[in-house]
Amino acid sequence: MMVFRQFIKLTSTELRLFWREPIALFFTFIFPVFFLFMTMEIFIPADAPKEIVINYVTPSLMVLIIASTAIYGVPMTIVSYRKIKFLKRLKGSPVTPIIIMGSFGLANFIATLLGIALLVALAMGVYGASLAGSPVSFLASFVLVFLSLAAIFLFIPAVARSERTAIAISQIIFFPMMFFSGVFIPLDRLPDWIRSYISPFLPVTYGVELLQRLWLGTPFDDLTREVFILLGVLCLGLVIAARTFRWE
Amino acid sequence: MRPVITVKDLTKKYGSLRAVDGVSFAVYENEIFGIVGPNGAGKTTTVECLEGLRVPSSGSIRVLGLEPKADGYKLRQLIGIQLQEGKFPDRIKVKEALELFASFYSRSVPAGHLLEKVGLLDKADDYFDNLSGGQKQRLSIALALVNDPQVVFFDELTTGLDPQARRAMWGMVRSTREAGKTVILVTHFMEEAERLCDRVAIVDQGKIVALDTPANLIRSIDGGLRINFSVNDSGIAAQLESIEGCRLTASNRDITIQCADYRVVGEVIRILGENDCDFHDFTVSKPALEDVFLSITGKEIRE
Ligand SMILES: Nc1ncnc2c1ncn2[C@@H]1O[C@H](COP(=O)(O)OP(=O)(O)OP(=O)(O)O)[C@@H](O)[C@H]1O
Ligand SMILES: [Mg+2]
Repeated sequence: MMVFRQFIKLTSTELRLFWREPIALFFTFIFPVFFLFMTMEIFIPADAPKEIVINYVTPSLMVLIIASTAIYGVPMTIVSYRKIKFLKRLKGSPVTPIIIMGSFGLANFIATLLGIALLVALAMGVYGASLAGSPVSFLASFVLVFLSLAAIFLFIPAVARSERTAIAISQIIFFPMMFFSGVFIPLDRLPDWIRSYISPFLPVTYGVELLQRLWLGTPFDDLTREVFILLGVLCLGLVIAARTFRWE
Repeated sequence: MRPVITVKDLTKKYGSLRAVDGVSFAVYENEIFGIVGPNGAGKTTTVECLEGLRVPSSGSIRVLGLEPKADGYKLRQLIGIQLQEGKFPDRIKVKEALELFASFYSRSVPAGHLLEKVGLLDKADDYFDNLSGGQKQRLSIALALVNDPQVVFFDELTTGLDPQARRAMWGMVRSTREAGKTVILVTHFMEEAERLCDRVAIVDQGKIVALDTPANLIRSIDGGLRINFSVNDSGIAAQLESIEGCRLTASNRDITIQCADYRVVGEVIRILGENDCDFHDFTVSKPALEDVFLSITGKEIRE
């Protein structure tokens, strides 16, 4: 039971710290909402049917929130905790690495979920978005997308020693990733060569694909390709992280 | 006396560098055991091997009868750690940090009690970031004691603190020992080791070059007294050197004389007076651990 108590305490502490971090709050709550309104009011053609467009926009903005947690939030936390030797101090306590990493993961997941709750509430309330598919398979897929993206970008704290390097790497990855994977711009509006030679190699692409199609009502059974690719990304991410992760 | 820690032939290599090079020692129950030495001597590497945070290249270690790497989880329940330059997240509150660490252990001291002991009771709701340097170290001490450990490791506890804060830390280290714990204290501050430690290991380039009580270490070097003063005309040095049983070193106008007894002090003053020599900042001191270090390694320790 002690393991359980450690896990809860680490998770709740981490969540409190998240709550006190203005930049993290901005990326989780403000930025996606800002982007939602920008897209709906400015980016899309004036004559486009908003009640249809919103159901494409909402799931892709969910992926935006997940990706900003995975690419910025988690790596930055790890790099800064390592730098101040907090990770090492935790390791010098009777807590297993799995508990430490698991609690970081859960805290970030909860924060992401809160950001998405706000986004979905606005999308539904203001623009009439609605989930056409099964809520259970949507939620399960959401967890999968979160886990696989969070795992694969753990390579960032493995290669970055300082916070500055981590931010630089995150920035280099984040924006192209958002543009070429269907988050900011629908895939079918991208040039052919990007769609055939770049998008398929970005894990985020499959996250957008999976969540968007489920949201629009495609049955889960028709999306096994995306699910397996994301499972593969998750395994790859965990293997790389287990081999390269540094506590100090 | 019962050894709480035994280390035999501990070696830790980083590539071709032997950071710790065949070190052996024992630490006994309820003593304050000092490890001193210059930067890069291998002090931190040594204690972090004892804490199970680094894996030795060779040698054997027992802490409270446990092998730090194999029984790490069990051992960490019983020891307290303060890391050199270890910090906590900026926005964690003092009492949150204590509650967090308390949740890790099967038994823990109540937070209020610990805060009172380290003098942070009125800072319980402050962010770590807003604490002063000394207060941050007080919190590190509290966190190292949160599980009521049998052995506590302090690594450079007072580095970077002002003299007053440093003295406050010393009081806390002493009371930790009075509470029945064994303390390993890493420092490069010789006065600290001399005042606090029951025994001191002097480490240089990965090796223990001396290990004894501070008093015995000081006794082991000859030289007895040390006279320091400055003169305006260093020409007097030649005359002073002729005093029997006196070793003189002069750098610019600062003169240092090492001698065995107080008779030489009188001689020195007499010669200075007879020659009408202007002198100032005249001090006579007994040797300290600092001098032991200098005489054994031929180097000044930093600071
Ligand atoms: N992880 C590491 N990788 C490579 N070399 C290391 C590592 N840790 C320490 N060293 C080297 O080992 C030597 C001993 O380092 P250590 O930190 O133990 O010294 P120290 O006595 O604690 O010094 P200080 O007083 O500066 O804290 C140094 O030369 C250091 O550069
Ligand atoms: Mg050190």
